[in-house]
Amino acid sequence: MHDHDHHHDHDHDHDGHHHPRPVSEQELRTRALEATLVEKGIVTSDAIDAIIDRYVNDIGPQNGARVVARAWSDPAYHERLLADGTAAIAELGFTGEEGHTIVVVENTPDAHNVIVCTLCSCYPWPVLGLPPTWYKSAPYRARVVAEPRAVLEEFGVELPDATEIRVWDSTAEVRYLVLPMRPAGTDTLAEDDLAALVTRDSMIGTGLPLAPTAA
Amino acid sequence: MDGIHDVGGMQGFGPATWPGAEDVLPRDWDARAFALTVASSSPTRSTHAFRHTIERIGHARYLEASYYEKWLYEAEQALVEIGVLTHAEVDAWAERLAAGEPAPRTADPARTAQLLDALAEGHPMTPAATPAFAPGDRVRVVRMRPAGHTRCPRYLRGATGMVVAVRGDDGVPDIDNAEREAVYGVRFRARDLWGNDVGEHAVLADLWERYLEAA
Repeated sequence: MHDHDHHHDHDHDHDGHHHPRPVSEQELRTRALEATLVEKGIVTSDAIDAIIDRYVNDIGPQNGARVVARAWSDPAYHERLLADGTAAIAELGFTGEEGHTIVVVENTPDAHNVIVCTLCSCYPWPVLGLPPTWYKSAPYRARVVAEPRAVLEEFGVELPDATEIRVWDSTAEVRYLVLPMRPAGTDTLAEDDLAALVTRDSMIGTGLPLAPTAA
Repeated sequence: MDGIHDVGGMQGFGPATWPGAEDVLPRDWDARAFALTVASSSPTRSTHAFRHTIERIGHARYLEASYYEKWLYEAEQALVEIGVLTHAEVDAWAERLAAGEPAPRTADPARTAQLLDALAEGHPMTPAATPAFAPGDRVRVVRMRPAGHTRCPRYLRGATGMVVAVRGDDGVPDIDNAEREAVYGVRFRARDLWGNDVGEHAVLADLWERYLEAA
């Protein structure tokens, strides 16, 4: 990843002259630690690049969306996914760190599921990638267990009073994936088109899938 | 350790999300700090040790530091503790880089491929050998104030809930995996945790057997 630095504001002053970007203490420490480890042969530079590439490009919510779309399309897969999430997700090739055991929790008209980690930042990497900043920050972690409706409202989600909210705190090594309800009007959609409706937040529980666009 | 990381149920943190909170790896160095931590993590150092190092970073710093700043701190601290580098060596590289010296670059494609394969390996929890509780059992979370690491959050202690699943056997965080025991999914009524000040949702958490007693 070489093009995701959003902090370029200091590169040019108002006259258009180029100035070296000030390096933060954290950035310098990161580079220094990497240089030390590379020099000692504990890590190689290409491994750092490859890990970043994998978690930026290959592993992300597009994986979870494929799982959800398959479950919406294939009743036998749906059943396997709820019975043994880890194995059913592995069928699609999604395994590994921070997802060794995955439990899938299904939304219904009666129950809406939300995932959190109040103690740190546990998140199902193989299906959702790395978590966004809010997921691993104190406000979400502190509040969603005690006032999920207020938190969901901040994410634009309002649920019927009769829907029970279930908040899953990832306190052990189980990781959770929310299986959202299939949106209305999608009966004729193919699996790929369904996957495009599955947002990351709909698999955390802080969002709902997109509605199909009128053809 | 009842530290600042254990935020479940706390109040006063503000909105759950805000502009910019969607970022996953906001700056280049966040990505490098992430990958560096993953690539340099020792097979002998557990996730529990990783988390406990971050938990002891200091309360003010825990809340103020960015997420990957904490990882960076942990990675360096861990490597110093296991004796593969010293803070002084990293200090020295920071000075050399700040003075304009280029960082060393190395590559070892075979080793990198091996590392990526290892990261993608799934190691699901093993079935519980001798679980003391079964789904449907009423359990109470024991009261405690442990000096070291624990994955039993404060907000659940003393509360009564119902076992909904036996997740499997796993290493006990409080003793850094020295023993394994059953982990249970336990369901709590939010009002059994916080009284009538909260809604009627459910909170579910995964708890090791030693955190629970029959209720």
